[in-house]
Amino acid sequence: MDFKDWEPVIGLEIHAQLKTNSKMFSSDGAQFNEGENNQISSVSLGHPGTLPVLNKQAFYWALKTAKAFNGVVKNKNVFSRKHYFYPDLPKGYQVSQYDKPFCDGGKVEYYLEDKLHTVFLERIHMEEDAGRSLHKGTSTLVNFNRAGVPLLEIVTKPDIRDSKSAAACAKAIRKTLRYLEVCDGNLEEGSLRCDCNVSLRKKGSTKLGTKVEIKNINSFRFIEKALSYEIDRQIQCLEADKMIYQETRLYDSTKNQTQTMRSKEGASDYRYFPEPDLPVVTFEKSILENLKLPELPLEKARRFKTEYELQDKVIDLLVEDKNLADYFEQIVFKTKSPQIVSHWVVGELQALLKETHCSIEQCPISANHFAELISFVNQGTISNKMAKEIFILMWKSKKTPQEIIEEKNFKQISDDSALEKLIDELLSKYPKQLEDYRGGRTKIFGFFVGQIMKETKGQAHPEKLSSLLKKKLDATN
Amino acid sequence: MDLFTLSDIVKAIRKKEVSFKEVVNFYLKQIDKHNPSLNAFLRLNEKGLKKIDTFKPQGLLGGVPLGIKDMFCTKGLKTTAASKMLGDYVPPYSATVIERLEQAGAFILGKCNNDEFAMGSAGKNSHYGVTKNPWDLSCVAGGSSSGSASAVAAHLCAGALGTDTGGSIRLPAHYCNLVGIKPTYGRISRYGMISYASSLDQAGPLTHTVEDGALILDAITGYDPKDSTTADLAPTQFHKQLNSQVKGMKVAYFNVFQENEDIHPEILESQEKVLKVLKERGCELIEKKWPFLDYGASVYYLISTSEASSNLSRYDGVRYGFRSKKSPKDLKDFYGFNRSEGFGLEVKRRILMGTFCLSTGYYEEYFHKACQVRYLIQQEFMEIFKTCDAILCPVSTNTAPKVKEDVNILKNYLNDQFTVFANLTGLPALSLPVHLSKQNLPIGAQLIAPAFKEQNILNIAKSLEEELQLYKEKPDGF
Amino acid sequence: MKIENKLLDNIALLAALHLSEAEKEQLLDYLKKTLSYFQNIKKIDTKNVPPLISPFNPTLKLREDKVIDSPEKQDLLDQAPERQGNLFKVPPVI
Ligand SMILES: [Mg+2]
Ligand SMILES: [Zn+2]
Repeated sequence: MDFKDWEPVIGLEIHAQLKTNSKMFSSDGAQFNEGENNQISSVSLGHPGTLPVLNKQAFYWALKTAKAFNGVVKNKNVFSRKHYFYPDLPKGYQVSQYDKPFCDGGKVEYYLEDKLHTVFLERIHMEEDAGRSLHKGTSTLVNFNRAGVPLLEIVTKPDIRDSKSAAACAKAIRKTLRYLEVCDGNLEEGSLRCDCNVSLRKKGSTKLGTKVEIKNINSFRFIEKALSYEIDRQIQCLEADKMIYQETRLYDSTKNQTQTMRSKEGASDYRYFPEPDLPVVTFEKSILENLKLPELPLEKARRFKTEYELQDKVIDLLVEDKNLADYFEQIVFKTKSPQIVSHWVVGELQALLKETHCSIEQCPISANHFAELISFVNQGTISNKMAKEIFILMWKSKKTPQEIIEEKNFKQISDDSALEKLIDELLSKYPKQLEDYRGGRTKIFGFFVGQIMKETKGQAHPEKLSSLLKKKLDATN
Repeated sequence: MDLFTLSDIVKAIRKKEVSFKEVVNFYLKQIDKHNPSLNAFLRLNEKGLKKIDTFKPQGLLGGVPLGIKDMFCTKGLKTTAASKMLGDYVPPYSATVIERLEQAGAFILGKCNNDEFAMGSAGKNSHYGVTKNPWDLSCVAGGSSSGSASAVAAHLCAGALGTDTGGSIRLPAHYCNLVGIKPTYGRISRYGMISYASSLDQAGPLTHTVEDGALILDAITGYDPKDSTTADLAPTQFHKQLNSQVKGMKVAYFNVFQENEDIHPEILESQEKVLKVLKERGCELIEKKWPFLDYGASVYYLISTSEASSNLSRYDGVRYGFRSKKSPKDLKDFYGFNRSEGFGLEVKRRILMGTFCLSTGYYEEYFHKACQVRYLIQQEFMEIFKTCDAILCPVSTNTAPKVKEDVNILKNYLNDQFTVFANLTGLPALSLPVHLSKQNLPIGAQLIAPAFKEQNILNIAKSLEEELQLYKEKPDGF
Repeated sequence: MKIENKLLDNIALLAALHLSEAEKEQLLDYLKKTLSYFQNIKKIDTKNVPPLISPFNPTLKLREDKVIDSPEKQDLLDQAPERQGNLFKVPPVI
């Protein structure tokens, strides 16, 4: 990437929706759904006299996340109120954290083009989500289903220097959150929202330029595109001696542009102050110590390398999704063939998942059946080609490989005497061709193979068939 | 009906000397007769009254008709905070204290007037008109629990529930010859009590006697999972442990009032009288200096308005409450119209002051500074309680002012100067009748206890009550 | 401290209150008088004093992550000053 004399300075602000059953401070459901105001209560609508009570799961998951990113968790947790008026903000303030986030610092590590990158975190804090406004021209309609859903805000330091790294960093954060099973990480549904802060400075300078915030980015691809566009735009501005305004811009993916979000009227002054309805949360260090972390993506990748000796590219694809990696390992456990299994998983399986828009959790083939299929190939019962066909049938019918093999008579003929019998019959059927072959036209070898495959509907063990056939053809010569 | 203390009524109903229905009808007659001149009740619990035939008067408060300050949400019964903003608001749920009162067998008779959103000390800031004092109809009942105090004093109900953020239970109790208790912060759930200032608000009873107050407290205290600021404590048993033997108790008193020109001489006399009784009853009296006396009101107003500006942000006309008929040209207009028409002047004043205190550039100097002084005040009171069991002091500088009397706002604010300390520190405090002035206006005394030691001051109050018997005095004509 | 019209306008904007000119004058006077009195606390030395936010900090009780479907949903919707279907309706925001 060429930024001329300029260096982009990028930081990410990620809002991750914790996948709790209930909201952060009230017992209403916290699911993503299309219904109109069917997840509301007096508390989440901010009715007079209602008070917040913190969700235990949300709090523990926040701690777990902080631990996974190596942040420093404070043993005192202070919530603050952030004030602004907007129709989808029920109380006129959002319960958030201000000068005392529960987690300071931390880091994200990820590989990009075979290099380990580290981006440090500024902070992680907890807050509640607002509702949703639907703008309908002559009116605005408000749905509060999302109001009060627990969020983690993960803020990186401005450590990122290009748009590709920004996308990779965001992906790494998402991957960790998904490994922790605290967030779905669905950008389209908004359970993960990634805002990017970007400014430019002269190469070699340490002074930061004017920062622009980009919002409304709903895929990783768009993080890269939006940032690339915005960096370009800023370079053009600066080179033309135009001002860059500190503002929020929205990314429009159809136009691949960032556009000024009309700023709210008047000065914003959030008037943060400590939330008096929630006592300071003091907790024992042991709570944090007792929180068990799963194996995180980088650790898993390192283990796959030493344990299974797989290629980096394959490992990347496997650890992308914890469930996929688990699925892979279950098959390996049964078949003891990590190489073969990895090819199947990143090849056939992922292709089919992609084609059918399925996640690994929705895969109709169990790891057990998958292992059986691979074992049949390993034993020579079926050919690789057959296995691929059976795999598709398994997907469609949810039957076991055994059932399909029997039903469709998919057994490979690999028994020597059976194959020899087939060859003898063939040779007696085509004496002229046999004569020709023995006369030196050896290139018609393929004709004999083809005939037998046709006869056996492809069930003859190809390697065995060709060696036996060759032996027969050459022997009597 | 001769019975008028709450505990008499409970006993009489229990012994079937009087029926629940007779009791209710007595109060309904009283309300019919006197409410038009007092403006104490804003509305009756019509739905509840329709079902009195099947009402089961059982439990600690079995069959006691209570007045409820209109700051408590009552499911299905309009709750307005005496504001136009909530003029048509029917809560879809009941406050925890209301549920507990009903579980204890109390009957919610109706909702009582108050200063709008509990902001005021005279009861003059209600959107629904001023509440009068039965001891003198030309005087205010005091605020902000004005209707609750007036109603109990005039025997329109057996007892009432109020809220106290800076003295709003104790001040009207002092003006109306009642016992008014603000328990320790965290003792009673605030869930469903409309917030004025979250870190200062507490609910409490207004009654004729100490025992009556203790009974109501025992019905409503205790941890509530819906309020994170409640203390993890079981419901109290104050009424069972009530004991007028106070021999050996150490009571601190402040001797700074002699120099205060604003203080009514009869209030000083009443304090002397109380000290004398306490001494006779074997209390050890210890003179102390009132820490930060001149600063309490400042700290209180800076903090309470800041919290109020935040708490009242939810009244925007989007989900419930008042919406202006004017057509707004933008969002700013929409909020501006709804809130400016929906809130009364005093509420707007306090919202503006609080918004200022929290705004960038002023937060440190005002809100933060006030919180620091609040810390020092709490420390000083804790220090006093290292050697004392209770503090005695006046409730206010004067007896109930005239309705027509128009003092300046600041002077009005300083009405709270003796009561705000209990809210700032979170300590329990009560006001009890100790004197009637030459003009036949009630004068109370304030007692403050260490945190969660309400029993100390309930016992001292009981002892004083036994001696002074002021609860037997009735305002003329009621 | 100087509270002037511009500052009052800004506070009113933050507080989402519309004030008439007459009200503004009155409120400006009120703020000046009360705040200048309340400033008496400036005299107190609070160096290194922590702020007291809430009188007591009870041990925090966390809520189990259980959904309780609110039985009062219809009542909540019925409170809406204006509604379209089950959505709360307000004038256009943009
Ligand atoms: Mg942010
Ligand atoms: Zn945020």
